[in-house]
Amino acid sequence: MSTREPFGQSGRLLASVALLIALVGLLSWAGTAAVDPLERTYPDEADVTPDRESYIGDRIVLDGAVVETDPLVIATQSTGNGRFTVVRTADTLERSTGPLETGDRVTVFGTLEDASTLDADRTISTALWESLYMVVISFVAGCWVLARLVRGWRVDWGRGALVPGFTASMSGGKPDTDPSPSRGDGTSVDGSSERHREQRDQ
Amino acid sequence: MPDLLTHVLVGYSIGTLLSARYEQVRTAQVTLVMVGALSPDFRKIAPLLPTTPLELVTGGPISWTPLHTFGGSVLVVLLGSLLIAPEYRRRAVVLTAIGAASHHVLDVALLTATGEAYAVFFPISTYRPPSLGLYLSTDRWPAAVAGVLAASSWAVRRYGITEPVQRSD
Repeated sequence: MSTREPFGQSGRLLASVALLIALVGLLSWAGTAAVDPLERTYPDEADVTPDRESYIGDRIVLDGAVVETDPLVIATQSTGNGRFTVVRTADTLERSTGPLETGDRVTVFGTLEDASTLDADRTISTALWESLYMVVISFVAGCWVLARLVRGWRVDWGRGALVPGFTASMSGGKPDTDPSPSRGDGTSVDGSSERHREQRDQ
Repeated sequence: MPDLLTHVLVGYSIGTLLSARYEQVRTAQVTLVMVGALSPDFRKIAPLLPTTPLELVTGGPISWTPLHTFGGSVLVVLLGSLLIAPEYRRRAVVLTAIGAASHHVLDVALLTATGEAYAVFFPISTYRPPSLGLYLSTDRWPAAVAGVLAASSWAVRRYGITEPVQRSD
């Protein structure tokens, strides 16, 4: 049942190396070129904080921590320096829950009115516990996928490749996608085709 | 980006619905959709690796962010598929690609401060589509909705609301 590599193991190795080179090339290009695909296209706190005067009147985006809430004052540097007062936050604030608190992270997009005042178009804020929640829940999700990978796939050492493992043992515990072999009496056409499915690929 | 759980639950739902429809998609293949759905976020794990050896090779700084774009996803999906035995490979490419695409769709739907999403089509284009602004990255309801979706698709699969279709590969 096992199929041989279409272009042999050396073909597979060659393809891996070519793809790796392409990937490293892409990462290197993004590292050196001024085009970061995830970075925002507007000037940010790293540009504006040291050179405020030259951005007055421009639309900018600042990341920072909340120092005061009324009026909103943010610090763009972790030392607490690089402070900006944000006006017109009340109607532009986007937040999952609760009022703005000191220490929350905010991202403000707006126009720099003068060297220390930002007129907000939109303010997004994140409480510290929300960031923690994201990390924890994402870690749980990663573990779930890893566990499914380990249980659903095994290494075929002869070919150095992953093959679907024995899926019959996966029916307990977590929500599972395989039709359980014990399901129903299997008299329907559907049931027999599913039994057939159980035996495939093994 | 929404939390990884939302991405993985959506990947699970898509995979499970596909498995209800196609014989070839089984539990192990559903996992591949889930792996694809979290693959763009390898960008967040990758920085834990030391970049110095790579930078010695490339002779300049590297950035992990392309992993979270179309170009990065294509390469990661193809590289991953080479780990899989040849008779399952084509299916694996399709399924992980579907998962990765779902990740990008969910991330473009995020509300961003500037109203722009990221350059999702990089390196083909640096165009940033307008973000759909459906939810904040910290919102909890997308995970709840994805959970309901996952449970529903599990039920569809389990109780055979759709008839599996056999398709020759």
